Amino acid sequence: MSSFWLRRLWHSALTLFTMLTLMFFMFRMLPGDPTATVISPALYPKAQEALKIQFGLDKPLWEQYLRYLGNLATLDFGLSFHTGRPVAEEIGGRLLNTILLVFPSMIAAYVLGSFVGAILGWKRGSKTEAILVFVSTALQSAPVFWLSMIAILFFSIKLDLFPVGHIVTPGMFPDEDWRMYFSLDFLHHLALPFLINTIYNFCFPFLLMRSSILATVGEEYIELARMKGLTEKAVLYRHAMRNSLLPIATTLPMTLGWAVAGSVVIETVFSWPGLGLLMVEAVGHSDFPMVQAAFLLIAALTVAGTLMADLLYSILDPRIVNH
Amino acid sequence: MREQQENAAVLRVRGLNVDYQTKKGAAKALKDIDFAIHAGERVGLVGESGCGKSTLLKTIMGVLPKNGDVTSGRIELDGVNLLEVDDETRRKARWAEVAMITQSALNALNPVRRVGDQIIEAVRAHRPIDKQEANALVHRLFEMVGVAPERARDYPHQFSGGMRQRAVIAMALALSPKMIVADEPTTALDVIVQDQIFARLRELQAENQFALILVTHDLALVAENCQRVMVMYAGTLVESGPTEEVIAAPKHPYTIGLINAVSVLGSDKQPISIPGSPPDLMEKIDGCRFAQRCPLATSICKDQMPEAVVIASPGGERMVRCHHWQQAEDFALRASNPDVWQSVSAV
Ligand SMILES: Nc1ncnc2c1ncn2[C@@H]1O[C@H](COP(=O)(O)OP(=O)(O)OP(=O)(O)O)[C@@H](O)[C@H]1O
Ligand SMILES: [Mg+2]
Repeated sequence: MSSFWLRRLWHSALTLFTMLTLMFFMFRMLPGDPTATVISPALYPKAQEALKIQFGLDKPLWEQYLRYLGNLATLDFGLSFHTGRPVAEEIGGRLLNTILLVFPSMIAAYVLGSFVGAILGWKRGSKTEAILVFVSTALQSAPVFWLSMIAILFFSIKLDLFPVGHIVTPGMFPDEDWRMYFSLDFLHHLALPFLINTIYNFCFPFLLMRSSILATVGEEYIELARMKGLTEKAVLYRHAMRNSLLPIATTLPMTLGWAVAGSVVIETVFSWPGLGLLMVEAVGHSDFPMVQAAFLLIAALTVAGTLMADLLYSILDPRIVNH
Repeated sequence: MREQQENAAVLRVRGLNVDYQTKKGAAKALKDIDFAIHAGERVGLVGESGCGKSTLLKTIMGVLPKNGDVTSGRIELDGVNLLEVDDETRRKARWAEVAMITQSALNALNPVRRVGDQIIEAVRAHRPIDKQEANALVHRLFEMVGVAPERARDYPHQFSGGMRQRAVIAMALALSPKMIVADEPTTALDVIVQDQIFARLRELQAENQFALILVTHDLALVAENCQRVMVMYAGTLVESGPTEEVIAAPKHPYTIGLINAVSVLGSDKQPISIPGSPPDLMEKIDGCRFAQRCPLATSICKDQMPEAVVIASPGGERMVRCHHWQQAEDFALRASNPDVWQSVSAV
């Protein structure tokens, strides 16, 4: 591995470390006693003391901080204040649900958006292009929850095509084990939020690819490609789109962390038991270890996404010299 | 002799008119263009910026921008009118029959693809070629144009300007076309590299016998490299003929002005440029397009487009589009006096 990537990795680690640290101190500066939900003020002071010692809260801040880092290093996020189960376990299943909802739909949106944007931009001036540009621009500024509610009202309630929410029909898979992911019932529940998420995320790559293609059309290498006798399709896919793909392919991994964080809204509307809904619940229960772990996860996803974007860029654009 | 030449015309352009549609109306970029290029011939195309040289080449290649329209005319390649054939036939004729070396090789290569791959791509668009044959071909082409063959795996940004230009020439040679059109192939390069590239191009032309149209602002370059020259002004061909004869005894006042505008190293003759600028292409002009700037212009010039006059000459034949071409010899003597030109623009 080149020294560029070593340095890049080091920077990512540093960013993540800074986030961890900030998060640790921020949670401790919040007004109110975060432990109040577990250590009831109604307990005898002696009992309160005992619990504090058990959680290590009697130690000086720096010692707590070191313990916090040590725990993170072993992926120990502590116990949930609300359920008392290990946070890592609670989050694991929820994260999977979010990933199943978000990643495929992001990829579908980016692939679809890129192709539609490229083809319409290439033809330039079609009616479909005008309509899609208008709709995409409007959709981009429409809130997701509004879009989701309309979809639920129309498709689920009026037409009764899709369930109103949840990941599977409640009671159908009592253990909520892996088998539910392979059921038609799961796909049926996934369809509507997947669709909404795809439509919503389609707008950005579509608009970006279209404008990027428009800027490429007049390039001399496009003219040369055409003069070489390439078919129009080859000129579009192998030259215009290949080059316009750069900014899009690199925003995709960068937005993944953001999309997971953004799943709060769609998961709440669709009662989708993912990370987003978990965060909302955790905040409601003042379940600090849980909230903290969820935030950390999103931060880590974002940092990893940025790193991946850099990596992709250097693969796709040979002009980037890594040193 | 003449009969023979007629038969051997690789490219024949007849009555070609091209408009650019703009918001303000149609701009007449090419007007009544007629010429023929014979097998193995090197022809220079000169004229000031914006006179339509690139437009002519793009029309020949069939890559006019969307707002460019061929309103009439024929472009015959070996007798087949390229403007009438279907898209697929047209596509196949590109590069295999006529290849182009573009104005700026700097931007003509796709920045994110390997140079060698871009050359192979041109071949693949016309015939299947396996990896081994492809590598051998690129190797040979790079040797031909004087670039180390192992550089074929590089990306364009790793090449110098001269190397990129050579790579584009290699690409043009890849399918052994009958004709290569070169649009100011070396304007971005320094004189030494330019000379090297032209020396190589002349050798390659001698070996491969493709016809060459060389577009340039530089009359000296044409004098060195081309047997024939065509002079273009505001979308019309005003004069053509054997290079030596045209330069020694120009017959169109514009050609005279163009030659006057060249500075000669070591001579104390001051170059003088033609005052004024070419006409607006949107304007409807009935007469000669050069009339506004021409010291010889009379009323007929403003009203009537001059016909092309063909004059037999020792080196082949010459063409001139001027009502007063017979006064050219006399005018050429006066033309080195700037006042002769000034008086026109004052009118
Ligand atoms: N796409 C276009 N739309 C409208 N007008 C155009 C377009 N392309 C070229 N023109 C006009 O057509 C005329 C001829 O342009 P062209 O590029 O053929 O000139 P040129 O002789 O190659 O000039 P140069 O020596 O500067 O390269 C110019 O007046 C130019 O402004
Ligand atoms: Mg030009």
